[in-house]
Amino acid sequence: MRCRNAVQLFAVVAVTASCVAPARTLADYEAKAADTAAAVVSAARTVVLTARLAAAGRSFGATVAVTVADAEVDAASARDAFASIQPPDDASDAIRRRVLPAVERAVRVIELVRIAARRDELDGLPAIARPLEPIASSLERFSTRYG
Amino acid sequence: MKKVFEIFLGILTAFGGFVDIGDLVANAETGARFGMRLAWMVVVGVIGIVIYAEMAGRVATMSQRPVFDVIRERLGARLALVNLGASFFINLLTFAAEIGGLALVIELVTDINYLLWVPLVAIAVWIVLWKVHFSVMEKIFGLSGLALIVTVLALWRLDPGLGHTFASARQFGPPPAESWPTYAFFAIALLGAAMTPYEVFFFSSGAVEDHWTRKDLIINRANVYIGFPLGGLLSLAIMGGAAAMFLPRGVSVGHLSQLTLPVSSTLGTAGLVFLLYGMFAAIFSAALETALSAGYTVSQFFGWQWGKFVRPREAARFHVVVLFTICAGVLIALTTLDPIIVTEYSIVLSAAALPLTYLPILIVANDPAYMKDKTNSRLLNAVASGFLLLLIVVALATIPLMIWTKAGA
Amino acid sequence: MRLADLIGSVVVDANGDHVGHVGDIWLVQDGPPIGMFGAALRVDRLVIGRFGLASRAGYDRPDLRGPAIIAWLLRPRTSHRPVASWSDIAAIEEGRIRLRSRVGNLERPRSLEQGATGRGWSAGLELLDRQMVDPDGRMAGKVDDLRLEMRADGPPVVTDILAGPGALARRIGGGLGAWIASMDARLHPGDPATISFGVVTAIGDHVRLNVSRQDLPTFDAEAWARDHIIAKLPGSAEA
Repeated sequence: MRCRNAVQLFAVVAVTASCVAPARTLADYEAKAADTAAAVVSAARTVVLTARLAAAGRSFGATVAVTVADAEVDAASARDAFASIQPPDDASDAIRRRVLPAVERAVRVIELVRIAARRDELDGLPAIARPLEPIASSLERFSTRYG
Repeated sequence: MKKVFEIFLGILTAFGGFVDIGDLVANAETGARFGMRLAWMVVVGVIGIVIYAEMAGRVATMSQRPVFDVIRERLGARLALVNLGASFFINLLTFAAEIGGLALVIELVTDINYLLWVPLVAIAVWIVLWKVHFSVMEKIFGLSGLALIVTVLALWRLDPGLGHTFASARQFGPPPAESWPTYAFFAIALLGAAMTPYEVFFFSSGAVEDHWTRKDLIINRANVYIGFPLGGLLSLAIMGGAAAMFLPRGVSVGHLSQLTLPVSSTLGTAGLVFLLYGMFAAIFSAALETALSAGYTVSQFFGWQWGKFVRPREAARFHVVVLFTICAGVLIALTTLDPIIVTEYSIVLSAAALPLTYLPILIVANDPAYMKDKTNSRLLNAVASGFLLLLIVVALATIPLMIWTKAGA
Repeated sequence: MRLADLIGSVVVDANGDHVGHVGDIWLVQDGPPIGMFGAALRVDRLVIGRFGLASRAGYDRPDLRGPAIIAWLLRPRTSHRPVASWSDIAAIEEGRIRLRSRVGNLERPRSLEQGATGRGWSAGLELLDRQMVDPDGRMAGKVDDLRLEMRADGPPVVTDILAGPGALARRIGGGLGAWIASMDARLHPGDPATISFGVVTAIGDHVRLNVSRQDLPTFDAEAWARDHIIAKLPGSAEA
């Protein structure tokens, strides 16, 4: 009846909105790579901003820690999702070689920032987060080009 | 003199109580992705909730009949029951989002996982609902929400004179990196965040709870016509702060923690204290309203005694429904579904379901048998009918857009 | 018989042609006296046609004019529907009503007219789904359905109000109604809560009753919720 149909429709929508589909063509794979790059750029720049605020004493230790941890979750899940996608052809392999190492590096740096933040070592955060800006710029160039 | 003070207090309460987790999430996400290019939709949404809430409040004041009583009478038992089912479900989802949001705010202060706070927050909500007098509850949390004015100060610091902000707001359509379907989907989300049905259920039932008479209509109008637009300014300030801070850096907002950055960077820890306090109070008041709305809608449909204006023993089933909603909300939040995602779905579904409750109110607001001499003016009817058309279009477009854009991904 | 049995029934005329579905029932207050209410409500006419938002909105009343665009859309659908008086009915079968006359011979009044013998009411608009209020101002449920008593010498009269999920289920109909009815039957076996029409003192915005809600059969569920859940929580007796 009307109620049951509505529930079924809602379930279909909820599922389709959250699936990670496989990539079948180069264009498809490039688009996913671009999305991943954009997500990691977002997380990386959030961490850079937060690190600067933390060192300047403009935020609380707990808030800084949570913000960095949230960004880490974003970056790590973007990396995991991308790493699990099967590259459809050789050209896609090249894309993967270009994007994945940068993404991995970014995630590792963010992890270090998070560890330091949780230890309340707020003054040193900008230094630990410094590698993120060049990585973010390079990933941003990639995602603008292929996105 | 006392009347003036009452009006002033009512306006401030409506102002501070306007924002909820839906507004925080929708405006910040939109600002980060679209700049101020969807600011016009916030204005549309505010106009919509002003019209809707004023009519519902006036109907309840003049006829002493709150929203779902009217809906059952106008739509008939069967359609009204389906309507109740949809409204109750969306309301429950919204409540789960609000307590998730509250738990996230506490996590921001303590760095202790939000899931542990969910049950405690729910208990706090219930205790306040149970023990605190209705108008006291409204005023304390509403006024505390005024602390969110820091978002306006933060925006001013980020963009002194608001030059860039206004320039961005004058542009229509998505930026080069985004598509029109996503633009439309975010517009729907903003509409749903501003025109929350629970606000209307709460507002109209509140008119009966506070025993409003026709002399109080002016308070109704002042609260709504002045208080809500001021609240809308806070939404725009959140959007602007996110736009100024995040759009140039390619940062997209997906966590409540990111909302602290515009205020922290401009106003430091002092500003952050106000922000967190304001966020907690505003979301807490929304949680109270949604829980009560669940009780109101079900009780008013079935004809049970409802309200905080009688002792709990005299409105037993009403309080059981409220208790059930709180428990069910906790369970939904404890499924570890991201509260931000729950929020996004709740506001979008709210937008889609609006015509169901809006149309009966619009009709009854014109009926002299209920309204005596306070029926809608022709101007109001013209604007309100235009809105009805908009809401129907939105309702039809929501699910297709949700599928097409993968819920705005 | 219950009003819900009549409403929604298919109506066929003397030739077997489909006329429509019973959408509403017009009642006149000129039956035998019942309790405090005065003359009981007698079934006067069956209104044939769909009874949806258009009819409930009340646009057949001249004083309801706005909003203009909605009135323009809905008004034409509400007036001049065929009505059948009780004497026009040849037989009432399961879900079907057969008329004596042909569809062309049925009256089509513009809207409900006030009868000469007593005040006229539209059951669907003015009685069903109304809130019942007791003398203390407390809410006592909704008028979910009405019980009609068949009489040998004329149309049936309304004798009782039926309230509660069991009564409501029949009006909702379909799969949903059947499910509600079965759930309710498990919790409250027996007939749905019946309130004699004699305790009604006035029908207006609300239906006002003469007895306290605690004395009504609809109060059972409320009392259960109060005693088993709410009373166990501290502070339930304070405002």
